[in-house]
Amino acid sequence: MMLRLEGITKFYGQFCALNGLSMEVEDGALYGFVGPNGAGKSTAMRIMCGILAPTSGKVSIDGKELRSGDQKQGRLIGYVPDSFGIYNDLKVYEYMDFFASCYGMTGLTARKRIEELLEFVGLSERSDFFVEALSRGMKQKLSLARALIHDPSILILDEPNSGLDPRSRYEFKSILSRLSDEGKTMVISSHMLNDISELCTDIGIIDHGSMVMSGRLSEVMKIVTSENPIVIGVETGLSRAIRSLKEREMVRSMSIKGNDILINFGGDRRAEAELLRELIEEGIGIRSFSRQKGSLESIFMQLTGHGEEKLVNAYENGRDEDQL
Amino acid sequence: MNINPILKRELRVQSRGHGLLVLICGVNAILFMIGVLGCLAAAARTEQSLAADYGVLLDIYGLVAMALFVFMVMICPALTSGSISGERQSKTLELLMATGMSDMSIILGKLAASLYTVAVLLISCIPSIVLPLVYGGVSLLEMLQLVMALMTAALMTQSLGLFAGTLGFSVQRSTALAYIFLVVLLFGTFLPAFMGMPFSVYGRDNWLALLLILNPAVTVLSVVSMQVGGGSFPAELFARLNLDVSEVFLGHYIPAAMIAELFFSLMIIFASVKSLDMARGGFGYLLRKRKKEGIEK
Repeated sequence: MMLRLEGITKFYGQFCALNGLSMEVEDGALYGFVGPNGAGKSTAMRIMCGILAPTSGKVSIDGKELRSGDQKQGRLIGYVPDSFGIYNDLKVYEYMDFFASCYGMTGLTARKRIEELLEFVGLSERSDFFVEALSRGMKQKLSLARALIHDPSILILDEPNSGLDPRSRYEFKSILSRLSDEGKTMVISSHMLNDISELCTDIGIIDHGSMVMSGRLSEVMKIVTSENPIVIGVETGLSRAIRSLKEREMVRSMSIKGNDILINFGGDRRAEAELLRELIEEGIGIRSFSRQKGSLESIFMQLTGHGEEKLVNAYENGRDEDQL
Repeated sequence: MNINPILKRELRVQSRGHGLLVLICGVNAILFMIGVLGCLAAAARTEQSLAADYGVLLDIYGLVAMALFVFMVMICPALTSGSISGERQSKTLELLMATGMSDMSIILGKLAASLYTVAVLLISCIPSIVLPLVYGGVSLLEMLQLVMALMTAALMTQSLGLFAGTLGFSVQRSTALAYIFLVVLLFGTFLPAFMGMPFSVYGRDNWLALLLILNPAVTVLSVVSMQVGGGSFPAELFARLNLDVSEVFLGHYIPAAMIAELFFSLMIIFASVKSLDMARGGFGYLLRKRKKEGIEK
């Protein structure tokens, strides 16, 4: 099912949380929804679920407009909020049963579905436990199982990995992967950009309530990678290399760390090869020469206005050594 | 038959805890104490006068009935004020909203659960007020009328509590607000009546006193005074407030007041539903429209 948001605006009093946000999530896509804190991700997700009404704009599923509180349309969506939304005074099975009855499922149908889902998320052995007694990771799995109880076509997950330990994160990721394989359309917001980049097929980057970039993840990565700096590892002749690079028009900016030079290069791949050849011909000992690969994190930082700072930081921390 | 899932969940949780049991025992113990003290006072008076006064049993009945009313209106707002704000605080309200359950179902589920608590409490208290059935003075039908008046009062105060809970505050603040609403209902309704008194001289009626028809304390007092033979409480009250009402109205004051209270409760329930809709941003269509117009400009 295709989810579309068109010109969504949301005001909280005088504060504009969403400013004409538009996005499109295709059927079966796993859409990574990223943005800095306060960018409007959660508000947008609440509007997608019909929990919140936009000030203006519309949300539609397969062309049909979704209105807040619309029962039929709302049932097409499963929602996992950033908080667990757990009733601590219920047992795991009762919790699932409660939400099953909220969706009008009762009796054997509900029981089968609950058992199936608890098995799916690995909580079937804990069905008699009070929710309160579950770990954070288990609560998150339960929350996901709850969102799936009515077999929604679209699943919206707001920061599903936040606060989970690495093992729980891995388990949760594999569950999402399985759901994606089953063809569920999913929208996931997360700060764990590495997790998102491994899972997502599409991405939307939101800042100050507006979409700054969206599209297929591979396409977005390509665009950003071509704009990333080139890292030249110099073995000998560092000062000569700096002089030589400064004279070139295509080198827009340069920074140096130890024996490595980072250049913002405006040329294409052929120009890159030419540059490398010329540097070698000038007798400069080049240890490595590569354009820094685009990561979701770098895309995010560039588009939300902290690009250079982050790139240099990442470089200084030696995180990109393997790419050099 | 599909039971409202919220009601089912509330009853399940309630059945696990000891809250209702403690409430029943506490209220009944206090009513029992009032009854016993009343009986002891009556016995002492009988010893002095050497004549049995069975009317004193009716006085005890009236005292216990009013004490029960006081307990109920004290408890009811607290029962409902935290129900919606508690869901909001624990972030489960948006999950309920995401299920596609209507706002009305959510409100009615919560209200029904607290009405159940009050009904159980009231039933448990019946032994404390049935004494006149043994000695005479109050019929079963009249006792039923008292129970109905108490339940109407409970519905009204619970609706106010529920409304306070939907206004988007924390549990503590919504509970405080519910009690402010209760004070306004019980005492604030007298204010317009008193304010209208100076303007009702020279044969003009103080119609503002009619607001007291919404005051559940006046209704329950009217029921009790009628049953214990204390005359017509509303007639005396309206006469003091310079309002000359017809005998027909006074004769039907109790059912009329109960209908008015039920109607008022329904209005508050609808207001609660609308208030919950506000959480979605749906309340105040005009406000949204104004914002939209502002954006377009």
